[in-house]
Parts: sequence; structure tokens; C-alpha cells
Amino acid sequence: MHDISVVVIGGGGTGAAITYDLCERGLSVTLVERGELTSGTTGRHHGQLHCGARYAMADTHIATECMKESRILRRIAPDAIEYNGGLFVAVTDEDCTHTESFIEACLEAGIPAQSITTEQALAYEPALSEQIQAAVLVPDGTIDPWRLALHFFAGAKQTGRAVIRPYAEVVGIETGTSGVTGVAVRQLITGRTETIPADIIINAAGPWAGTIAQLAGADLSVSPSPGTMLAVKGRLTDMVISRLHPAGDGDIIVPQRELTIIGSTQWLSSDPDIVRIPEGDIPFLLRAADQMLPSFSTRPHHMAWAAARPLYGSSRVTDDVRSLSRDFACIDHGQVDKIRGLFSVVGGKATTLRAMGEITADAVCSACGITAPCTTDQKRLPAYRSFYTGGLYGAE
Amino acid sequence: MVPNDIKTKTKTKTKTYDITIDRGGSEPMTFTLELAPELTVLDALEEIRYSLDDTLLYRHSCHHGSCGTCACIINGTEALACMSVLSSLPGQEITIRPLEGFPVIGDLLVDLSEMVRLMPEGPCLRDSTLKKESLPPEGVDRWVRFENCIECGSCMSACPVTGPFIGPAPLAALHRAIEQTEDPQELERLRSRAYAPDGVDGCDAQFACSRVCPVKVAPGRHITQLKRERTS
Repeated sequence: MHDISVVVIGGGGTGAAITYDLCERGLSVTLVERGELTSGTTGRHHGQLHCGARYAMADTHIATECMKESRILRRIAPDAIEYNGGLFVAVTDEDCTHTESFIEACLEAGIPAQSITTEQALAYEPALSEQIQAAVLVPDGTIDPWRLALHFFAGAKQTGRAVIRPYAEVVGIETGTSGVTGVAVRQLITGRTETIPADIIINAAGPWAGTIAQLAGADLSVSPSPGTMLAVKGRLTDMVISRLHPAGDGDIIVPQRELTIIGSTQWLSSDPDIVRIPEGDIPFLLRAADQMLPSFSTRPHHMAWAAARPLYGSSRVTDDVRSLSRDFACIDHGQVDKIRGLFSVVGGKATTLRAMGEITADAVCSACGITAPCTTDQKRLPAYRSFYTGGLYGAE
Repeated sequence: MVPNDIKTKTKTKTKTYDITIDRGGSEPMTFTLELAPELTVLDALEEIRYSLDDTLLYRHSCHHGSCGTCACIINGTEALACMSVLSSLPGQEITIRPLEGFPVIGDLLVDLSEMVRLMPEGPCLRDSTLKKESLPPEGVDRWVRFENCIECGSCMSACPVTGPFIGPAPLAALHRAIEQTEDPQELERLRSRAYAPDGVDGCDAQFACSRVCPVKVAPGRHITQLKRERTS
């Protein structure tokens, strides 16, 4: 046990993993989230367990990290993952020109990508287009975003050192001469506003992280960058199907339960609260999906939705949003803004949530002189349903 | 690429909706909103939360019917708010209530923990239902998929039984677990739970559970099968 109060702001996957990691290292953590847990970006993501192949050609570091973390998640949270592997398929002659360099890049990142015949690909997934010209097998999978996050929340609760408080909106960050002192939250359930004392505050608010940082007078450049996903009824494949070309829009199809989901698009928004689907996205996604799975658009429409991803770095002037870093950063505002005890975690992706937790907990422990090592890659997480033990939202 | 919100503006005509949140116990509150009919009840709740009442309590996560958090009673019937498209509802007056039979924390927010506690541990995954001749590639044990049940509580809310009864969702889960387990001791434990006095015998066979299930788990069919398999 350590006599340090930590408040984590944001009940998405990142906040869940940070809370779990810190609790495992013996710290006491209160997590606050203004709505339901995972109601921001986490719950609405595409649901792909990335082995890293998608990033291999552009960024070996991210690809390596995804491979490592996807293996760990399959071990520690198997109930939240449909693990069926994935296929990258070349649809056009131009796609085919990338095959060799794609496989090389994957192997360099430690991803066991393997070229297979198109006949074999069609045997694995008969719904694939017969027009595909090449296929590469990779270890992708499907995540249940809500239940993966619940696994981490359950792990945090099991330590007895976590207080998880959804429906608690941060309205202020209090600071004194020696750094942060507390977080003012408005409790939606009771209507009361109170201050939770904090020696350490971790801003894990995703696309809202810039707004939270402002409350402390810190400048943090986070761009809400929404994307559209489209689900049709019926499961067309078991494997994740991706287009073999440089990463772009509408080039990943993720099956999940009785659904098949194509994503995504990407644009920039100033408001992450309310995101509406742009005109044109749905016909675009249907066309893109049909190139890989020709029956996709014939299936009954299920739902289209969008959520704002958090992208770190100023992007108001850039033309190509996908060129922004997909990696994540942990910022110690004690170093950059002289606000001791405040950390922000931005960027990242669902597959690497545990690593984000580890890196952030390392930074916090280092700042506090705590030497406890990270153990979250070793232990299997408790069942997600155990999160509900002792009441829906734990000790209040 | 247009680096701003311009791209998100749609030309769709809006309609005026009167959304009534019936919190039970306190006066129902009606909010009047201009919304595009292709939006969902969840979108309407989000609009209310961010522009009219910043204390509104409701649950949501995936926005596409996979997480099961947003179930509530819409115009008298259990449904997922995220899958209830406004244009599919009759008229422009919509009443939303929290699920029945669960403690209400506030507004539409209910505590489902008792139902979850009654669910047996696992199985969360099952064999894929896709018909394929090929075995999966090396490294993939079997073609799998998540269970259909998303633990939304709709069946529990719709169930008319008032006596001691653990309810449709736990019984459907028990039946799936009984079908999948290969451990005789586990089988015995699951069966004794299903056939306890508050188990299958509590069911009146009215099938309200199957009618409202948003993911077609058909809990009523599972319970019927459990009743048949009692002596096996």
C-alpha cells in the first residue's frame, strides 16, 4: 500500500487499464467518468484486435507493440476476444504490388504473416470475392469493447483499492503551490459537487482530454477525429478481412456475433459529444465492403454509428488526417507545464490499452519514487461479470 | 479532406419529437427536440443530455446493439435505445421508462448486478455457426464467436412472473452452459441451479422474454427445453 491518492479521469479502456495497473502496484485509485463506463470512444470502436499488420508498412514500432499486446490480451482476457485470425486480400493489380513489401514489413515487426493461395483463402472464408488476387494470413481477431474494458475494471475492483465512479463529471482541477490537490466533480446521481483529494491526477479523457487539461491551465493538443462504422445483419466471415493496400478508409471488415462491420472513415470534428454521420459515408462503406465481400451490401442494414477517436497533435492545418501519429503519449505536466502531479494520456488504440496502462503507471510510480514492477501482462484478468460483484459501480 | 465539421452537416429534414422520460416516482419530464427521423432514441437521449438536461442518467456504450447497456422501455416495450430508429416508431411522441424489476438509480439508469450475479460463469464464446469445410489456420483452435446474449435485461423486465424466479436470462445462460460443459460435476451443479424451486418451475410460459429479446436468444425456448430435459 502507498499513501498516495490517485484520480483517473475517463472511464474508457485507457482509464480502466491505468486504474488496474496502479491498483496492482499497491496504489489507491478513484476513477471518475462523466457518463456510463466506455460511453465515449471505447465502446464504439470497430472491435478489431490488431496484430499490427495494418501498421507494419508505416510504423514498425506500433506494429510490434500491437503484436505483443494482442498476444497478451488473448492470454489475460480470452472471454472478450473472438480469435479467428485475419486475412489481408489484394483486390486490384495495384494492391498486388504491395504483397511482398507488406509481408516483409510484418515479419520485421514480428508478425507471422503468411502468404496463402486464393483458393485457401476462399476455403477459410467462402464469402470472399472470387476476384481477389492475393491473400495474406495474419493473427487478427475481434474484441468486445465493453466487456474487454469490464475485465480491466473487474481486475481493479478485485484489488480492493479502486473506486469506480461513473456519472461523475469533472468540473475543475484544483492546484496548490506544490502541484495538483484535487478534482472537483459534479455527481449526476446526487446532484452534488464535491472535491476528491488527489496527489496525482491522470487525464485519460480521450477526445475530451484537451478540455480536461484546460481546467488545469495546461495546453494539450488533442483532435477529436470521428470515423463511421457500418454493420449489416448476418455474419459473413469469422476472420477479420482487410484490404491489402496502404491503410485508408473503409478497408477493414470485422465480424462480431451475428454482425459484419465495415469501417472506417475519418474526419475532424470540434465537438466529440455529438457526432453525426456525414452524408456519403454509408454508400462509400458499402462499396468498399463489396470489393472484399460481394454479398455485404445485399445484407439487411443493421446500424451505422460514429465515435470520435482522440488523435494527439495539432491537426487543424493538415490535409491528411491518417498521417497523424496513431501512437500514444503520456505527458507529465509537471515537466512541461510546471503542474506537478498532472499526467495526460492521449492517442493509442484499444489493442494496446494494457501497455498504455503500464507506461502511465511507470511514469506515475517513477514520479512518486515507487518501485513496484508492472505485473498486468502476467495475470489472467477476472471474469468481466465479476465487475458487478458488490453492486453495479462498486464501493460508493 | 475537409478538416472541420462542414462534412457532417446533413440535408435531412428534421421532425419535432416530444420525448417523455418517465422516471417513476417523480413527475415525467417531456423534452421537445428537432431531430432527423433516421436518428435513434439513444441519439435523442444524447441530445437531451448535452443541450437540455445535463443531469440525465442513461446507459450506453456501443451504439450498435452489441453491448446491451442501453435497454429501456420505449413506448411500453423493452428495446435497445441505440437500435430504436425514430422513424420506425409510430408518431412523434415517445415515452421512455427504465427497465422493470431492477433497482432504479435514477432516470433510465438501472442496476443489473443481481441478474449478472445469477448468470453462470461463462461460456462467453461458442462455436461459429458459419458452415465451412475448412478447419481454421494453425494457431486458431476453432472457429468461434461471442454468445448472442448481451445481458441487456430486456427479458427480465418483460417477464410477467411475480413469484420466486431467477428469470429468463440466467436460465437461458444455464441451458447454454449445460449444453456445452463436459465436466460431470459442473453439469450437476448447473442442473441443480436450473431445477431449484426458483428455477424453471417459476416460469409461466408466457414467452414475453423471447418477444422482446433484441438479439433473438429466445430465452423462452431455452426454458422450455430445460423443462423437457429435466429427467435426462
